[in-house]
Amino acid sequence: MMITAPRSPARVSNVANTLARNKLGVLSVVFFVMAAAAPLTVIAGGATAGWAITGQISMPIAYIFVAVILAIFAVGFVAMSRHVLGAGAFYAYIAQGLGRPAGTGAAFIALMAYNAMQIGLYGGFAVVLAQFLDTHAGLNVHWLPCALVGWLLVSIFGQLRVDLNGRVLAVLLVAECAVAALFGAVMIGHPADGNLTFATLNPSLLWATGIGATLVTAITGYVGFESTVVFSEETKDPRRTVARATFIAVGVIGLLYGGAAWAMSVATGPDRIVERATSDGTQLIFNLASPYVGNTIITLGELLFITSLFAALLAFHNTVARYAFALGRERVLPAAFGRTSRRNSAPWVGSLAQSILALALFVGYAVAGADPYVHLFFWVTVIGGLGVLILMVLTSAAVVAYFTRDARGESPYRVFGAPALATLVLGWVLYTTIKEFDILLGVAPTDPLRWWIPAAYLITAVLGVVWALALRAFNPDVYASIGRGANLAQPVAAGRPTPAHAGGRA
Amino acid sequence: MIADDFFRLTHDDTSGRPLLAEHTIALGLAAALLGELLVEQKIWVEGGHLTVTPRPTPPQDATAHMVFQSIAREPEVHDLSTWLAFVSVHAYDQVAERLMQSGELKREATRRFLRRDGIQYVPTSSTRAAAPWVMLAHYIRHSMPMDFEALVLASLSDATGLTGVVLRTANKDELAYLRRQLPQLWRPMRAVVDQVRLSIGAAVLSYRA
Repeated sequence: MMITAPRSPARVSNVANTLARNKLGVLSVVFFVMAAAAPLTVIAGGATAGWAITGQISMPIAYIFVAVILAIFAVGFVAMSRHVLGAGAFYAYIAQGLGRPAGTGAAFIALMAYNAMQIGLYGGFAVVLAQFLDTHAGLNVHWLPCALVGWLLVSIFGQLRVDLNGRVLAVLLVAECAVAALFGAVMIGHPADGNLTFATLNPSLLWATGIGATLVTAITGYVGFESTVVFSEETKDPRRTVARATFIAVGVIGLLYGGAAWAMSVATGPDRIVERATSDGTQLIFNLASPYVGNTIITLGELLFITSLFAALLAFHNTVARYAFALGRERVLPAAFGRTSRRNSAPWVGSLAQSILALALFVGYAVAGADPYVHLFFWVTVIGGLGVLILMVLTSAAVVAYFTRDARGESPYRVFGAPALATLVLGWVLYTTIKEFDILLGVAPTDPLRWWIPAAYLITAVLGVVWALALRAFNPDVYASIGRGANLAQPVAAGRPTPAHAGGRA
Repeated sequence: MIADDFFRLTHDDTSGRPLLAEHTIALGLAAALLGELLVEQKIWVEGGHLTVTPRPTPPQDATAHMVFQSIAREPEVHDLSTWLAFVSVHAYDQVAERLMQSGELKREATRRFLRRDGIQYVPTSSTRAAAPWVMLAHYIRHSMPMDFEALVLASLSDATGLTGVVLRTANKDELAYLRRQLPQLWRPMRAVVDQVRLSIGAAVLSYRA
């Protein structure tokens, strides 16, 4: 916060200049969040799995539609970021808008959702790496050792606080987008049966049965875009940079996902996309493009797919560790989570806990002989996506509630119109998703799993609310600080210094 | 000087190896430099903002003078977190320079694997470098009431996670005594230390530490 003093308006602020050198511009923020969203992971992995498992052709229109919904959601979300600081954005906003018990429930949901996103990605990473080793080195490796390699690297990076360097991420991201765009152009240039069809982009698909399943799959692909607000204090122009970065990220991601998914359906023909996605799996996009581009490009694409998965694994690992850190500092979780490594400031307790949880889960999958692609990658990441969807519904409602008390100079469109619309539309998506959860999982409508998974979030949220109420009863200081954000300034003493106050020094 | 003592505390008394992340040390040193001006009543902290007191005489010490001038010349009023961030940009080099001028540190090139910075400040006398922690250990061993400077150092150590390192030989009772002393810190200075704690957390959360 800066207040311009009338003392000498012509003089340039040395403080602002010095600090600005370290601040982020729009592009840096866009690169950071897009790398976490990992375009190739979603295009080659998420979309394909979505077709295969839900059996719906509507993935392309779902990606476009979700971009539109998220843009509407982002209006209020970004407005909120200008008034509420705190890196655990969803839960801080929900705590401020809907009350601390709801905020704590949201925090628990967020921990579960981001953990699910991360752990599920191990399935994708392992399958794709194993396949790569098989194709290019003739090595027949089980997926578990591949997952362990990724896990070990992520765990070490998490402990040493190695965030992938911005430049490395930017190069990988640009390469990923270039490959996706090239493959897309090639596929559109060679439509099945020679006719270019827009069937999978038909908006009427949005009202078809099974749309909930594709929409939540699409939302899963966007998870990570919400972290733009984490940088609000680190940007050159906090009022504009975050907003621009968020809209650009959602727009670019939407075009990329929607366009590439549509291109794949053009190349196979809309009526055969589900069948091909089932038979080819994560190789689909490469198989479709390979007759028309060189082998080197295909191999490069496959490598970028692996690095993209790894970048996403690390990004979500860090998200979980920092969420736990924020909650530990507020003492909502045990204070140990709020500790950082002395040498490198890594939030190491949260990082370690996430690593252990992930290891236990995917080793459990391997022991049980579950399918790493369907049951780990797709199921568990869409469970994460479902959690983020729940958080977005609650957050939009929280934005409306927060600004109803005081608009704080924001326009009615930003803090009432857009977030109210986002609440309704996202609420409808959530309702449809849960109603059709069996389609999402690809199980029989009577399978108890279709109720257990949504119920797990409900139970988690209830536990959070109960925990908040317990804190209110037994530890009011901690309760009062819920959702205030780790960087909220504490009240400062008034009064003038006197030698007596200053102790022995003065 | 408080900042000199915090520099000594945050580095190995023989090798000069930093005991905390560079960013954390810099924030602590910035707080200590502000503390030096605060206790001399050159600046004032109120309502989360930092201002220059009416008609102060500039500080004698060259480093304190430099920090003071940047505050006095600033046309805008900033909050404490902004000032800490600003002062921390040069705090490390400024305090190291001050200690070099007094002959207490010498600059050495390091050739350590994967280290960004090739410079390390090595103490010329480990007795002197160890003095602040010896002092803190003495206070808590004898449960003596702590003076301002000792309290600032103890509070900054607590905020930066250094206590467990520099007072690793302290027993449970001694550490409990220390924790009881911390709230005694003069309130404006406590606000600065609290902000250090918050800024360290914020840096972790925004991936910038």
